[in-house]
Amino acid sequence: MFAYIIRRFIYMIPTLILISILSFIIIDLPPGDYLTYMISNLQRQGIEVNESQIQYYEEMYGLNEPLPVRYFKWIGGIVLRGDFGISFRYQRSVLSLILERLPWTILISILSMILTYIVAIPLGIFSATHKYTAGDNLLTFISFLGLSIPNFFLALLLLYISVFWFGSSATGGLFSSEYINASWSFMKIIDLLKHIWIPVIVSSTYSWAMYMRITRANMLDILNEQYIMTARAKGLSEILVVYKHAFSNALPPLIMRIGVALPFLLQGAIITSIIMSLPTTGVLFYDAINVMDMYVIGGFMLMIGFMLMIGNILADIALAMVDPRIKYE
Amino acid sequence: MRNTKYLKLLLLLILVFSLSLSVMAEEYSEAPILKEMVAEGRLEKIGDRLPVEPAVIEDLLIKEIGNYGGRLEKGTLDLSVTDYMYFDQSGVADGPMANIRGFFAERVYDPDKYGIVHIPRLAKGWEFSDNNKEFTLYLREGTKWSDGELFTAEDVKFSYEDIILDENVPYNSSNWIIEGEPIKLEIVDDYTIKFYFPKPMPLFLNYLDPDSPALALYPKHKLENLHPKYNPDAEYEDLVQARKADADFVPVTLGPWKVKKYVPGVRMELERNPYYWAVDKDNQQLPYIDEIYWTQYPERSSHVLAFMGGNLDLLEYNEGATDNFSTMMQRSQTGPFRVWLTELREGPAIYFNFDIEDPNLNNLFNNLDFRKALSYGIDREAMVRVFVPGRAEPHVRTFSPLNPYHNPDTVPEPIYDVKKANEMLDSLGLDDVDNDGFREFSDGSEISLILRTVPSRIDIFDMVKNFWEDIGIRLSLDSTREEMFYDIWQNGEFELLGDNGWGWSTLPLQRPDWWVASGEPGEPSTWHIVNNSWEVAQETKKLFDEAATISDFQERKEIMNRAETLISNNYQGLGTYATRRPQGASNRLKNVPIVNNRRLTYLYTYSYAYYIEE
Repeated sequence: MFAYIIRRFIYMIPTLILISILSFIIIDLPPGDYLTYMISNLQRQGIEVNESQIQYYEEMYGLNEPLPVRYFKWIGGIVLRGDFGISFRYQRSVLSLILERLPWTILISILSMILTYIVAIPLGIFSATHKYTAGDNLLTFISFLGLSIPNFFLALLLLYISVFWFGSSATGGLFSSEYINASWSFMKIIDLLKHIWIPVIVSSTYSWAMYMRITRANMLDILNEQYIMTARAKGLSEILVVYKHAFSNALPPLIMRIGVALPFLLQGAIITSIIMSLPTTGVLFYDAINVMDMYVIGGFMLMIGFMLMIGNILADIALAMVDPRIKYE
Repeated sequence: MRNTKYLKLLLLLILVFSLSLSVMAEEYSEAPILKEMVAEGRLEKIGDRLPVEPAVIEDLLIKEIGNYGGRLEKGTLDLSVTDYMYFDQSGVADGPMANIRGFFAERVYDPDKYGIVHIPRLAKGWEFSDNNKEFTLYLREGTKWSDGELFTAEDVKFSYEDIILDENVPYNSSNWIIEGEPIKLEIVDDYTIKFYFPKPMPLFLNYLDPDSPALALYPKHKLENLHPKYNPDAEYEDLVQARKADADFVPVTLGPWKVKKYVPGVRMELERNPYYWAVDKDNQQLPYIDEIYWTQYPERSSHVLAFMGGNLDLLEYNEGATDNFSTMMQRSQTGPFRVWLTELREGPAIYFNFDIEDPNLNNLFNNLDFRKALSYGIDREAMVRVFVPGRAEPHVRTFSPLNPYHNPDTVPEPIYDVKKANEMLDSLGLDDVDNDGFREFSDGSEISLILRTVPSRIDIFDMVKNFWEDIGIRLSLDSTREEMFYDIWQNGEFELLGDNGWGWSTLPLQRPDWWVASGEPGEPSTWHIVNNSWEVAQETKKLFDEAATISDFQERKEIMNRAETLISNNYQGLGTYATRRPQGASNRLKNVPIVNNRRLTYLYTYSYAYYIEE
């Protein structure tokens, strides 16, 4: 098992190198770079930029160098000094920008993951055990709604309702402005909760609907297995049959999903965050793509790739612990 | 005996005089939070902070005397301020980034409604020599930067000679080089500066306006240590890096606000500058409001929602107000905010590439009848009905109607006449040879024009495409990412270009490059919409150059009228319509200029006069 994990970690290195090269090439593919964005922005504001200024900024940002040179400088900085480069746009180190936003991103992601599992698993089990009843049909309807409703629309809808129906002032950010600089207190936490519920609901809607469907399908499969019939024939109580014998075998697919969900922690709910103006890393990433702030994009892709692989390893380990049939050599 | 009497009298007079002086200094009042700071000894007294003669804002815009306190909440679509003010070109303009810069850059003077009379602000006054080759600028004695250091002629000299003109600092100084020679600056005393021009420049005041080339002001006491000229150990790199908007870095400003806290891309908190050098008519130091919070709302809809929900105090047309105008109008009946329309601003326009290599197209574009026919083929009224119902007027490309140089009698009417357009095209020998509904060149090849534009304007020009089908002109649209648009423009990689009808926001003489070719004949033109080899452009350029040397307004106006007549009657570009743009403010925010009749006015520009009444 231990050797297996070590091996998995070693395999990660070439994959990460590949990810970094690919993401660097992809960033460079579209015409133009951050400078084009900056100059066109200045031009739109009626500011003239002359050749010497352009040259100066090219040198300053290192944009005049060929792609491979830029790549090796960047990757060298990461490996040797843990320096992910600077953001052209914010003129600050990429790492500090991401770290600044990470706590809130993780908080929102974890809350929505918890909400996802709390809602999805019990409802999925209920749906499966009450197949084709009115309750199942209703839940199926709701989950299809959850799957198909676009995030941005739901976010806007909830915002609209909270502003115009309930007169809420929670439209953007995580705090009302009077609490932004206040030290932590009970009232500040209440204020946070007032703001955070919409993003958490919105970003978990799709996933709970999906997980519910998965749980339901798995449970239905398993409830038809012969060993369940055996368990019932033995006279075991329904609760024991469902939760001990059926549910524990319906778990592995859900655990595999957690592996994929790990990068979500870093990525946050991008669309929700943009609409709700939340200070998450996802917004940073999105903005960076828009203005071709390449080291931010590169650093972010690398981190997401890393999280994805770690997530998969963790999921594999968890799977081995839950399912005795799985053995890693 | 007699002598001592006189002496006593003199002493008494001096005493009275000095007493009255100190009483005068006490006259100014300040915000309660500043009063507290003074009482605690953390701040100098108001009299020591203000200049000897503070600027008195007796603007039309300050309708009411305000009261102190409160916080203004402002949203923005993009909060990435990389340089607070150092090395910034100026406090110019459009776009959310500038929304914040607007707070830092300070005007040396305030142009009036039409930009003809200039109201002194940071400067106390100025004077031109008779031949308009010398200009003397008087600063206010005792004006201080936001850190309490004096602002003097030395700062202006440093900004000009060591930042703008220094070739090692990335700054576009081309406007300051006249006929190969830079404008000279000389310090007369701490508060008097003289500029010497190589040729008469009666319009030099435009250079001090933040709306144009602008003389951005930098704090010498902060930057001289980083400048290799003053500190041999320093590198230019350090000087440029000094602008970085670091979380710990507090920029020094002359504006009404200074930065308290900045979280990139999330929030910026500004607080009042206790050394702001302006007062209202009641001698109350400005600004009225204590703090301004800027929050980033990356998405327009939620930005507008936040405004309508009463969380934000100001909404600019380009921050979502335009897209949601009708909803906002409806909601403003009951909501906590008001909405209004600005004066007419430029709408979309089409430009020709007069330089184009294809000889057939080159001939066409350079033919006035062809351009005129295209203009007759656009149903501008219909465009207004579809895109901006009720708040736009059709027009051909002219100077802005708010502009003093505009003469409505000499510009052509925006006519829509398909029959006439067809006749004109027929007479050019452009017949539909193969009967497919579209015209061909005389050599039989098809006329197929490509118009390049940006995604956000594609609907507008799609409508033009349909109109031109009626006059047998085939048009296809090609949309390019906004960032690449400028390159295309500059390099002339287009046949037709669909963009904004540039030039209305400033006076034509302030930004001539929006109207006439900027380079020498043979060189690529800055804007490519007007070409050097094109005779009309040459002629207008001459008129512009001439007007810039004339100090008499009436005389200048006559010449500029001629230039406008040339530009508009030659259909240099095809204007479509001019629109009124919506802006909004919360009901609790007072003194917001509702009638927005300045040239380039954004809501925050007058933030020092705003006050809050709950």
